[in-house]
Amino acid sequence: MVGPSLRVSLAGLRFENPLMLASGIVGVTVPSLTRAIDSGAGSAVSKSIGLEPREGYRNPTLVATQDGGLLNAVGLSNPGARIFAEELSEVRGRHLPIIVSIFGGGPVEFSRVVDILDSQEFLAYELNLSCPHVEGVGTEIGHDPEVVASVVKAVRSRTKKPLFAKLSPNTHKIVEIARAAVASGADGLTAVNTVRAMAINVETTKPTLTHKYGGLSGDAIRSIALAKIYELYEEVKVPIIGCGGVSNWEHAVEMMLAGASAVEMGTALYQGYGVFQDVNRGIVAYMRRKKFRKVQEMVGLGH
Amino acid sequence: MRRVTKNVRENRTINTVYFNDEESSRARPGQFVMVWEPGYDEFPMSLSNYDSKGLCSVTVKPWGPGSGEMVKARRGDLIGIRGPYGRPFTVDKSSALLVGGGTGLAPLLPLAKALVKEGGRVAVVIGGRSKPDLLFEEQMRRAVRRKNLFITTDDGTYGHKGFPTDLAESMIKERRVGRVYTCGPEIMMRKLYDISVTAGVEFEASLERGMKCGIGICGSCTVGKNLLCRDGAVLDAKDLKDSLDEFGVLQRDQSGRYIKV
Repeated sequence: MVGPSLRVSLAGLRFENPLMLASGIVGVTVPSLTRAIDSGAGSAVSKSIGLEPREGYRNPTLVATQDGGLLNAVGLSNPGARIFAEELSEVRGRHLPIIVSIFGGGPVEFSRVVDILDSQEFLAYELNLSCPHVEGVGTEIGHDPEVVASVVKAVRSRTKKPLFAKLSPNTHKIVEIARAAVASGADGLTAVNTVRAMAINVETTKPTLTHKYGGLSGDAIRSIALAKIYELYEEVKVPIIGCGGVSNWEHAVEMMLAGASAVEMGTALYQGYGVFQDVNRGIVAYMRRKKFRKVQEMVGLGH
Repeated sequence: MRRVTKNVRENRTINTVYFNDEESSRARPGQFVMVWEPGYDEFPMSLSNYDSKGLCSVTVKPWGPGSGEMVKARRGDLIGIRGPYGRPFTVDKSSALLVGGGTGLAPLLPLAKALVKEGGRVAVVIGGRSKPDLLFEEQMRRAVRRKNLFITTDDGTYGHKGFPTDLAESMIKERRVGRVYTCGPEIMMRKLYDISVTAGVEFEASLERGMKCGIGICGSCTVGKNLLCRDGAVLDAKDLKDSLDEFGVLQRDQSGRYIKV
């Protein structure tokens, strides 16, 4: 008997398995993205790339919170589109399942980033419309359905590659925003980005992060992400990539049952790159036990 | 948060800052902590001392906002300590040659003590530009036999005149050295790597990169495919083999762009 298959296809892309390296985690360099793929990720999303190089905020940029979360305000550090394009050119011909996350201050800036990157060999774009801790390029864009529509439309007109709009959980309008993205040409949605949060150190009596506000990820946000995915699955027809606090197979399956066609992992990387293999193995064992042959059979079964 | 218990001037630029931390006192040689100087910066530092009673230290040269503040630390000041993190040096009975330059002596001091305790033969080369730049001569003299401690200065103001790599090279040729351990300027470490690999001697180096998280998440500290915070900060010859276009040549700045080491 043939065992269950982990292969997934979404938005015209085929991946060996549903697990993805989430944006912002280790993937600032092509060797790191490659290592995630070699370690068992079906695909890997780069750190968000903007038009110009950005150093990000001064440390502390990350802090573990007592509720099992990881709070960060790295500040979109990235080498800029031109240098990242050069780096991508080195893996040309290797057909790596790399997705490039991009950010910008509006439709014009997003378009310029796409123009610089588009001739490189990668599978798709993830539009970061939801960074909760950088002014002007995050939630100001991603919380306004009209701005989201204008960004997606602009990017759509510049590239043939599939587009995934990464949504913010920090708004009551997530369905409205998702609809605007889809109507403007997004092929899929990534739900969700980090939850805007803060930590205060009681000894110094001040916020721990240099930027004060950050984005919360990890265990603390998984249930929030799950509800958003469940809600979106009922309201939009495009594939959803689940993201938020997945660190074992059970979490990944839960997200697929809620409606995610693929699942990103980020904070879980504190366990090391081996986490992808561990979760894949767990999913296969679950599928065998529940007699699922394909991942797609699980997607949305929770409804 | 931890309180600074003392701040000892080591030479004209370098200070050792002591604090009590139970977790760090269980560290192994070569492991590091993320040190937070509130209001300034958080940065990775090798532990230069840790004892069973919980007394630990980091050895700091001012180079940025956090370390610049830290060398001025006074008893009672609050600092944040996360860790210990990272892969330590191998401690076994192999005949060891430790080569350190500048603050690179910091992780080599607890290593020398651990290797001696393990019962192996341990030789140490301490290098510095000039006599006032040398670090931990006294501490190393207490840790290893007098005849196994060698000093080099670039300008010849003390010990052997020349680079520590030159002395190390001749020692590798003349003695039975099982493993070279090094920490210091990366160009020096790269040279030692080349010498060690050519001579067929095992090699471990403690490298330094900018870090944000220290726990394998942010990806700032890469050397090739290695994440220095988890795969290092101690890397061996096997780890470095595929990263020779970076090791001793290039590092990435905070944005991810390549700059010279």
